Amino acid sequence: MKTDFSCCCSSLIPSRDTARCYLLFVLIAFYMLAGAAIFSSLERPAELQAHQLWEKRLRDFGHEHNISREDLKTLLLHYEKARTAGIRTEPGRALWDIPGAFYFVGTVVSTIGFGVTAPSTVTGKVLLVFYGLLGCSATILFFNLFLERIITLLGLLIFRCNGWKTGYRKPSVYQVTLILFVAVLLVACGAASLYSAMEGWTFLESLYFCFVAFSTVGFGDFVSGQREHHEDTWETNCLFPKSLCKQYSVAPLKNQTKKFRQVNELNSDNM
Amino acid sequence: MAQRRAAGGCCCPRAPMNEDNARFCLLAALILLYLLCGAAIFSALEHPFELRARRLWKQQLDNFTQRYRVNLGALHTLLRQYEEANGAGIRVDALRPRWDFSGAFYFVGTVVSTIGFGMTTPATIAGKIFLIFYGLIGCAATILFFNLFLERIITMLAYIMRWCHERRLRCAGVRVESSREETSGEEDSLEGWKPSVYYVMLILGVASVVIACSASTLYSSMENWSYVDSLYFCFVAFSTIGFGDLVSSQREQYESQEAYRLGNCLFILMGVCCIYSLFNVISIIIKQTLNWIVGKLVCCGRHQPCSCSRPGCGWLCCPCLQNKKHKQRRLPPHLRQKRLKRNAVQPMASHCPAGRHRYTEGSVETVCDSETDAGAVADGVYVGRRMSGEMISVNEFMVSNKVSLALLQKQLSETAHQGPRQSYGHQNGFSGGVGALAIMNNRLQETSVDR
Repeated sequence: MKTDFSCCCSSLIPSRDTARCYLLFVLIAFYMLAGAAIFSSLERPAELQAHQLWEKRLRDFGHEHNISREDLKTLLLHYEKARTAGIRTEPGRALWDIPGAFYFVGTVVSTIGFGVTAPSTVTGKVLLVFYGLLGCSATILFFNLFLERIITLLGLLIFRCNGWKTGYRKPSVYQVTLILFVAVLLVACGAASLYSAMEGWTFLESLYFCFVAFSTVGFGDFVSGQREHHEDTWETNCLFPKSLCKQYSVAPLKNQTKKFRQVNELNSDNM
Repeated sequence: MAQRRAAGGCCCPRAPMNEDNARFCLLAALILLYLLCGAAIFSALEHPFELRARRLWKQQLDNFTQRYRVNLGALHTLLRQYEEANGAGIRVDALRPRWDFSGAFYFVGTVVSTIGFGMTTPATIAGKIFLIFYGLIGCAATILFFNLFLERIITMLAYIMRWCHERRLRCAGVRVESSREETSGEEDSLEGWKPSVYYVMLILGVASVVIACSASTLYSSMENWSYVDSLYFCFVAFSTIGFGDLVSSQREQYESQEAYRLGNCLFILMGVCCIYSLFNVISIIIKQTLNWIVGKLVCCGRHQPCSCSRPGCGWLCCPCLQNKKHKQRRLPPHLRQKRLKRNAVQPMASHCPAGRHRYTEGSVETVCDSETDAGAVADGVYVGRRMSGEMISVNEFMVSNKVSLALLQKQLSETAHQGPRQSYGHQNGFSGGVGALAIMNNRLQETSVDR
């Protein structure tokens, strides 16, 4: 009788795990709304300014060379199509030679997806779906194993540093997060100085690019290695995987701390 | 026990690296190979098209300059300015505003889910700096959300399986003992009910296909893309690659705009959840394959009796051969404690060959954990570790053997009523969770006690 009653009620009250999931969803939704408001206020003036500037330039060009607006628009439409095939005004490197294609598949399996190179043929698009399914799974596994190796290594190092005094203690999530954070910062700063030297970006832009690439967001507004002549292209490309791993490792550790906090909240609510 | 060791175990020469590192390096090599093959194939497919597009554009440019007698340099300047405007989100056809509230919300969505289309990017310095800090927390939270989503899916499937089984029993007339007194910890009651990896992969695959197809019909009708293009966009968005060559909901006006935007949002959310979970499940299968390969490489089919001289050395380096005889056993608490102490790392160099670190506490998954994958279930850990080549003492082996026999009998009697705990318990690959959360289970102080 009693069990029936509690069973009946418990089906209405979500379990702790489900409640945690809902809570996280709600928190993320609020986070996104707040972020949208902040970004909107930061960026909207610049956008309006850019619109005005472009209108003025287009008008001036049309007047100067006596070209109608429609004809200019036709040309620009052609240029847009050319852009999706990867053409730019600055003569860039070829996109689909072997090194370019290697860079492309790299951005696919790591799910960065800059978009500078994207398949245009139908066969390429279909192949991408199947290629990506296997490749992205394998790369996710790779990052997870990397994280595991790092935690094992850190546990070892911490144990050794403690001078074998206490028995082996597993590393704390805060320790690991801190160490990974510092490592990511170092790699990002190193990479940013390399990029700002090679690509002609400012240091801040390079840092921004590092973050966008390593977190696998990959906007594509800044992309490394696209200029025609590049010494040390291979070195820059090799830096990538290391930093990706590190960035990808930091995120799950943050997840753990978040999870604990939420679980604690829920636990304290229950009590 | 000596003959047991000889019968089942084999002795390999000290391996140069432990199995976990071997697996990691093998995976890296395989991915590199995969990338090289992919590069070659994509290059062959796309390069001709690229050359054709370049030629076409050059032709169009030449036509234009000739027709209007425009200086090429001036035209290039205009095009460069147009590129700059593109960065601010301007296109020839008027698009929806980038940075009004709904546009900014779409942008923030692409950031935290790490899709990153790139149709909207911060132009101001303040925006870029803010993005870095905003993204750190947002991306982490969203990754956690996807992982929890997968966990909930697996739990739900386990519930369904148990419900089906009980219904079958009820129909067959067997009395089902209500094992639902434990309202706390649904995990306990579902202990034996974890679904198989392949089953979950099938379900997630079907769900992904259904979501992708319905989303594609929506996009191809609203955006006037071809159906293949819409499917391609769905995959690129849901896998969080997000090239940005095709982006939904960019035009200024749509019929039933609000409904379309909402549908777009929901489809992307569900699609990313399903595909991300699918990736994680496939990665489990890949890991099992890797384990098998590493096992084959390490064991090389040797079957000689153990040649370790130390009597206390139960060097089970090819547990694959033993696994069939071992069944997963649940050690009673006092033995668990004992194993805990034994597994506390002391430099026992005298007993063990140095090549086998005792402090691979962190590496629960060793060669043959295809049956006890990610074996970080609280008690499963110790059993799993034993089967995967951990050193054990003779005494303990005997004791645990006796105990487990009794346990086995008990569990057999339970099986009739409560379901196949044994058969599901160690063949699913999900014990201990999935993905990044599983890795950290039991490896960090904070994750070792709870769960």
